[in-house]
Amino acid sequence: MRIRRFDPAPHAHGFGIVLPENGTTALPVPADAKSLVRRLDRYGRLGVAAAAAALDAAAANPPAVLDPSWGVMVGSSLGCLESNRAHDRATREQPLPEMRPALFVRTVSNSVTGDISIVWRLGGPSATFVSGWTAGVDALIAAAIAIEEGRARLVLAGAVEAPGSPLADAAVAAGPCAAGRPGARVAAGPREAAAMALVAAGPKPGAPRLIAAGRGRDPEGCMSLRAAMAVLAPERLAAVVIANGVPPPLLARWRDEAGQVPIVDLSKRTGELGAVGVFAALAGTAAGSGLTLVVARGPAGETAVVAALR
Amino acid sequence: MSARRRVVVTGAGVVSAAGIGVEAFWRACVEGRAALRPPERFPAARFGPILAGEVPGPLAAGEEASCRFARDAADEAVRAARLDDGRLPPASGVVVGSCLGATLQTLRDAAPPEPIAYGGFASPAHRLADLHRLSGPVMAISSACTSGLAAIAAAAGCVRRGEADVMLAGGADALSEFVMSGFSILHVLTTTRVRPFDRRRDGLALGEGAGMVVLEARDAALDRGARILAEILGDGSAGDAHHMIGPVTEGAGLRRAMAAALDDARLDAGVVDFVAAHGTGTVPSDGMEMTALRDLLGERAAHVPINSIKAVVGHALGAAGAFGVVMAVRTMVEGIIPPTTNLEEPVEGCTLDLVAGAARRRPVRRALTIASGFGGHNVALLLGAP
Repeated sequence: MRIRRFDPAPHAHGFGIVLPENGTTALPVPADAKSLVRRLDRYGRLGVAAAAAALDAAAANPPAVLDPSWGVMVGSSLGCLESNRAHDRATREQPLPEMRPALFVRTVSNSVTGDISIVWRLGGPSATFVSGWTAGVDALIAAAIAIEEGRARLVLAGAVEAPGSPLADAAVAAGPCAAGRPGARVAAGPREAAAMALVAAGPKPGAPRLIAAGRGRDPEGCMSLRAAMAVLAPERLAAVVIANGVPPPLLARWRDEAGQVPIVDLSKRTGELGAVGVFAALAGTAAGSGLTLVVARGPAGETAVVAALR
Repeated sequence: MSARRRVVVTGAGVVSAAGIGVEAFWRACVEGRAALRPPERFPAARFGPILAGEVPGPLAAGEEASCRFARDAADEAVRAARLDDGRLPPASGVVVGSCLGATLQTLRDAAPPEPIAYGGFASPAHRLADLHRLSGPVMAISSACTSGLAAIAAAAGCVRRGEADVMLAGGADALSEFVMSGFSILHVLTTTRVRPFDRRRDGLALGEGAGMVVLEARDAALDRGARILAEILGDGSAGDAHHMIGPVTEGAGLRRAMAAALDDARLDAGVVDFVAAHGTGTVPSDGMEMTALRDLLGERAAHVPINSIKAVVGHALGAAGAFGVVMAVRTMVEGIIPPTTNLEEPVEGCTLDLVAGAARRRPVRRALTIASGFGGHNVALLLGAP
């Protein structure tokens, strides 16, 4: 895995984290978008809610007219799977005239990215990653690069997991966690959750700066941490935050790799958040200080790291 | 900003309705030979007299189609790049774009082969990573019909920034009742012929398959004596921010994506001498695309050849953009622009140079490949001859 420093390093101005208990009913969305938001599926509503919360947290003024300097990047491991299941069932059980076009439109995973761009008139670069549990990091890296390369001035970057309980239950029931082995099952599927950050070029008091990131397949489990520690100078690291739960043997190896640097297993507090985990971890760094390394890892050994400095 | 490495295409692979391999695909494109027929792999009578670009040949029992297409196309691309037999460098990765990936398998099988945590969308990418033992970035992109093109753009970025030395990239999707029913209830399937940019166009035909390319740093490719097919000069994306499936009639989002690709390449529209259009054959999408191209090309609009291959292999959704890239790369290599099959009567007042009838022999140095899709997503990629 290669760790790449962002140049210039962008800042995460505000985080919006939406968990089921928070609800998504009182969304500060533009008045002319409220009827659209009411028609969204759970996947879209969670994404829009997190975006609204991030804009609110950043005290940002979203564009009043279409603005091509604002981008949207979203990651999700399960994507729009629930809508796909509903359309699949309808395909098998209903005659064509009774099927709903509006449901079919929700069977593309970038529907949430489209929702956010429509609600806030964001006409800049956009992408939707469904890479697994590192998809949130893909979105964050894409946002940082868009700013670095001058493609966007501001980017809403985040992750959405709206699996619905049956699939989450199936994931939990699938077997013990054995991350690191391709094809392994996960112990706890992603909970329904969403998170967004407003990534911007300029600083803001208290906003963490995104210093560097890397991603890759790391079946053995330590390559990523070793690569990051080599680039970031361990003496500067305040903590390594594990965004997704990892099996105890791997956690033990990571503790060895990290040496004196404390390791915080975020999943102990938040449960599994899938691609959303990295944003929950980064939002946590905003409350701390120093250089923090966030590690996201999924069941096929896909691993990504993000270094953030407050 | 960090230094940019030049990124080149050194291999390509295609699985399409025209057959297995780039040669079968290219011959069909150049001859303008439609490979569309009534679908056979699933019951399709209720959709009416439709045509589809189904990949010929049976699937093995239990084999997930999009993953198999991606595997076969990637194998061909890696062989063509002479990176087979374990010669891919350690820092290699993969990006696969797909609308659905293996989600139907995830939803229907009691024991899908991948962790259910992926929802099946990432299955083609992760399976390729397993097969080729890749340890670089492994990404899946699902941005509707732009997925394959967006995947190639993302992979090019990984090489350009030094995240990886070699990337496999492309798109893959499979036909199913699932997608056929969806497009049927949207009333966008033609029951006659796919006629991109034609006055009488009345809809699209769905297709399937995979298109994959091998991307690597130009210096490394030269050092190992690889044959360079094309260079990725720039990419861009933009959102319509307008409607989930209805394009902006003036094509502003696509226009911004194309401009962003040219900006990324530090070039202007004056260098474009071929456009591999999305050209689905639907009234609103083709109309939007023609307007955006006319705006971008300006006075040169009548002199820049534009084509669409959707009437040959169908609209292969996540693979469509990758098909466009492979076709454009081969166009630059051969100096032959395939025709837009079934384009007989261009839209009245159209001032674009739409390639119709027969293939056109003409050198191409800079090719712009474009795609638009649900979510109001637009992607453009600028390719250059080596």
